[in-house]
Amino acid sequence: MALYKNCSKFASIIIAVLAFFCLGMNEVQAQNVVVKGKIIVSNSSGEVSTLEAEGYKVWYFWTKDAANDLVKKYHDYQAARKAEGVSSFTTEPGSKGEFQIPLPVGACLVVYNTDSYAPLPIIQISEKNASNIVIKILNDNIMLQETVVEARQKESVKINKGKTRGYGNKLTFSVAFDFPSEFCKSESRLFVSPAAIDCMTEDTVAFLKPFVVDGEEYHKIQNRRMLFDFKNVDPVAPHYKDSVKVTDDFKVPLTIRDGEPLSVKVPIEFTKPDPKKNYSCQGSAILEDYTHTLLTMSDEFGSCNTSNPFKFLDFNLPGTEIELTREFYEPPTAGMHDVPRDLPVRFVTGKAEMVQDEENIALFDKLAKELKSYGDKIIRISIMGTSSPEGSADKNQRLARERAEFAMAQVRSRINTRKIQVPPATAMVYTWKDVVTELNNRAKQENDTIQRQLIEYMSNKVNGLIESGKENSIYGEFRNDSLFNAVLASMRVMKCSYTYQEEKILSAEDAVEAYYHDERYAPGGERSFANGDYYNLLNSIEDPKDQRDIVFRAWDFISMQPGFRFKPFAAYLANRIAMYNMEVENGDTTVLYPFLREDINGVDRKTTISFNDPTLWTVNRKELVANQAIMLLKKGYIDHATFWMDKLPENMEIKKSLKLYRDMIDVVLRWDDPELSDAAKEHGKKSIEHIMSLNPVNKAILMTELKAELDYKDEEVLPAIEALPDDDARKWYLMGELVAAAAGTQADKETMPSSGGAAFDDFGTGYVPMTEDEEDALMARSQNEWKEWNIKREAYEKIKAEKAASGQETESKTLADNGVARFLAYFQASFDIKPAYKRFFAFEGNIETKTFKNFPYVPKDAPKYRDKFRYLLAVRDAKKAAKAEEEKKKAEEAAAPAAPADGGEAPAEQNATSEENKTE
Amino acid sequence: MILNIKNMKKYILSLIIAFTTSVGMRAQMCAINTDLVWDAACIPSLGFEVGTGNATSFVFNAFGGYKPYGLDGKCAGVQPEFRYWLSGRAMHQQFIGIGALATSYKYPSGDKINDGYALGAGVTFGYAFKLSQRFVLNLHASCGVLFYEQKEYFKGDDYDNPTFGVIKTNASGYNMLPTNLGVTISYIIH
Repeated sequence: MALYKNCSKFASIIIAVLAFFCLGMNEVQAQNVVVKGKIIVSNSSGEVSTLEAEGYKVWYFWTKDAANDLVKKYHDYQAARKAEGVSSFTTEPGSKGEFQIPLPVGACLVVYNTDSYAPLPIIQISEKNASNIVIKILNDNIMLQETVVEARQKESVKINKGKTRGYGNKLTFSVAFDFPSEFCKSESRLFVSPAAIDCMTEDTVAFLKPFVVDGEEYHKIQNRRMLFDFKNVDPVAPHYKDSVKVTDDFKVPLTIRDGEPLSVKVPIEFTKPDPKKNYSCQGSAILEDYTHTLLTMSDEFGSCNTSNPFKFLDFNLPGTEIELTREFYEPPTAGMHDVPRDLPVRFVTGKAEMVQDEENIALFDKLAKELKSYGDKIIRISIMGTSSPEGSADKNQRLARERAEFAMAQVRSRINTRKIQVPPATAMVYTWKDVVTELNNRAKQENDTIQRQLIEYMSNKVNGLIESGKENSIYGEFRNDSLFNAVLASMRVMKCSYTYQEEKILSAEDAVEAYYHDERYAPGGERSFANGDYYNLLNSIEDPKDQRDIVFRAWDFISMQPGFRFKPFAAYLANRIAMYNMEVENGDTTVLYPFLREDINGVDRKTTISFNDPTLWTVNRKELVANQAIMLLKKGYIDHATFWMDKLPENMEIKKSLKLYRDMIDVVLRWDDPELSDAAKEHGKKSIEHIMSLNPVNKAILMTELKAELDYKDEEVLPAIEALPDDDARKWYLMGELVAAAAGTQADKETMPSSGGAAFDDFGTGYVPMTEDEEDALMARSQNEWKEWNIKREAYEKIKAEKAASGQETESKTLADNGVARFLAYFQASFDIKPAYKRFFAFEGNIETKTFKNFPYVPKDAPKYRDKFRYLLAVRDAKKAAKAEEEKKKAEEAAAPAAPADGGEAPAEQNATSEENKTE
Repeated sequence: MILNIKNMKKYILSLIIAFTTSVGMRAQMCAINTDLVWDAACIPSLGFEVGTGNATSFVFNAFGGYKPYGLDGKCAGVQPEFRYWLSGRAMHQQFIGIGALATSYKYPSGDKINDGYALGAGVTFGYAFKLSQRFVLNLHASCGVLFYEQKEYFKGDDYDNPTFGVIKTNASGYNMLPTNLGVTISYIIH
């Protein structure tokens, strides 16, 4: 009995164990299947798109619990993808929306739309559905084939990124949010916080102006909390939007209400610290109530690809000249002429001992030679030693004087100073205040914003240390800074000046003669013209090249003179130089700064030189102000240009032109801003139309770049571009922009017209072969045209010979369409003429990102792009020829008399003729 | 614990100082209020409430009554309270808090008269309805423990007439009981 009991026990244990393993193993050895699926996106009319399937990601988990955890925790794709461990279990559908993953039965899929932040319902894999999972997304439905599950995709927040627009240092982005009603609560606040990102380094460069919308109830409570003075007390009040413009006279409230969807458009502006760099915009949007965050999302609000519609624009803004009147003439001081010279002699540190090297010796030799050239006309020589402020003031003073005395001794050892006045050497020790002044001057002249800010920071710091009595620590603080050391070094340069007697005052004719023929007056020569001489030269010489040379030499001379900014002639010269700078792309905009004062309103104002010197000088001359505004506008510093432009009188023509361009730029950059008034937009459009009418190049540029904004069709834009000459790189760039959208479609194919004949590969020279007779006819018709054709023929022959030498195919072949997208061919043609345009192309905002992605520009395929371009040119020429032929035929048909259709009587002439014939 | 007038004043003052200094008194919302239930009971109350943070506030109420509805009794007291608003905003929706009560009283109870002082502390909870931007209706209730010390004597007894020069309380103890039940209307001054 006991044995039976034991056996039964034993058997039941065995059975239990076996059962466990049999069942358990089945559980443990879950069957693996290869899950094959497809995502299909279709709209309400049933049109299917698999391209949109690329916006979905498929995540997989072994258990439903794991999938649930993800879905419950993260209803935000961006947050979910950063969750630890999750991102490794993803797969992306291919180009047709298909995906394939080996998974165990029971595993779960979670599909996320990367744009809309909401996951679709979890799909659990079974043996039945593993091989054919079709995820069909019909707007807001998701259906699984072969299951009875029908689920609705949760409404999700949509973000629509607008165009990134930029010009100069201004950049604007636009992003629109659509929050479905389930997210909207009256007791919630939306806080959109954008930031600017450097495209190269991906660093956050600046946090931009936030955008805040309050729920109805939230705002009331917030106002109460802010002691009923929300506008003045709440820190976010400046960014709070409570209404949105419908028309200029009508606004609707903007607020979050329970159960009502919310749509907001957020305009974002950014002033670039470096106009040459590209920036994008990223940010976050947070929807929160008093205690919880209801929704948080972060995304790109704007891409690095920027639409810069004015990059090629011809700013038809001629510089304003100053008439060279007697006002600018400086008669030389009777009989005497002062010449300042710098003596950058290097001394041993802390001693009045010169470093014995060839450079130093050569300095004194050169000075001596210069002095000797005046013979006995030299009246006086003086040398002033200078010292920078670090260290002890007394010691510096003594050292500076000793060094000046040393230098004077060197000069005296080289020339006989018995008959020359040689006052004792003096010394000047600069103070730290002088250092601050010098830093401020350098900051004003600095173009780069970041550098300027650094210099201003240094200047303020030094000033602060001076005011707090810590001058001794200034040198220690900045001793390793190169700019600081450069400023101090410039303060150690000795100043030498000599006075000589003018043999005679140069007349205008003498000055011209000296300019052309006297080597002593050549640049770097022994003698130099006086300011008045330069005036005479400019008045007398008309050759533009010589005029330019004189202007720059005169400026180099006058800008070294103390107090030059108060001299009218210096202002005239600076204006001339500014006008030369306007002709080049990156001209210096700082040359006019010494003559302009930002704190003085209006133009042509007279003000005293200083508190101690009541002499009046003219500041903010209108021509200088106008030219400064033009230079800044062309460089893209809109706000700065507007500042100077506003000082000009209203009746100045140039101001009207400036305003036109400024208004156009302002309106285009703010095109997507919902607060931009209709009146301003209309005014901007009129400005654009006016500027287009001035210049066919501008017309083509603006029609192409602003095609979307101004609703132009391709057919309207094309003739404007085709009117540009073939050697203009802008033409092909604009063509590339125009046809980029059609890439990959049937419209992108260009076929040779049947009557066009075989295409001839001219190797890009433009050469068209002619018969001898045709050549003779061309020569007879126009010698110039024949010469041009001959040049092209020689270029063609040369390339052909080079190809033959390198073993390449030299026979002209019929060009064929090699399938390259047209826009790539056009851009290649543009880069071949102007390689600098590649930097625009790399971040071109008028071409969609998917076009760049699907048809990337590959530099090593440049020959293919060129072949395609030659083919396109050949097609164009053939079409033109065919059209001309057709028109010729039509003209001939129109000119020929019509024959009777019914065989009746011939017209009178013919009858008369036949009568005559009969008579004969 | 011996309660007398001197000590009582000390206790009340300490309570006020403790509460007002333990919370930051910055420029915040400030409201005055009165408890309608107490007012209806002829024990008028007046108080002020000050927001001390995003979701906190400090309330101070004083009440007093003399022979309400002809009853031979009187009472006076203060009730400071510190509230935490669960909605995240002071004077808005639900709150919980801790409070204190200090009162002196004299009331008949049957044949007896109870004359003494009580000091207590408890928890409070309530809900604020926003009637308008400035008016708030607050329903609240508190309960806690109350320590009392009183003279308990029969009506007609000349209890206050000392025989040995000392007037003593003869009863003390504590009770757990509701310390407040009210409907308060507040006006937010700023």
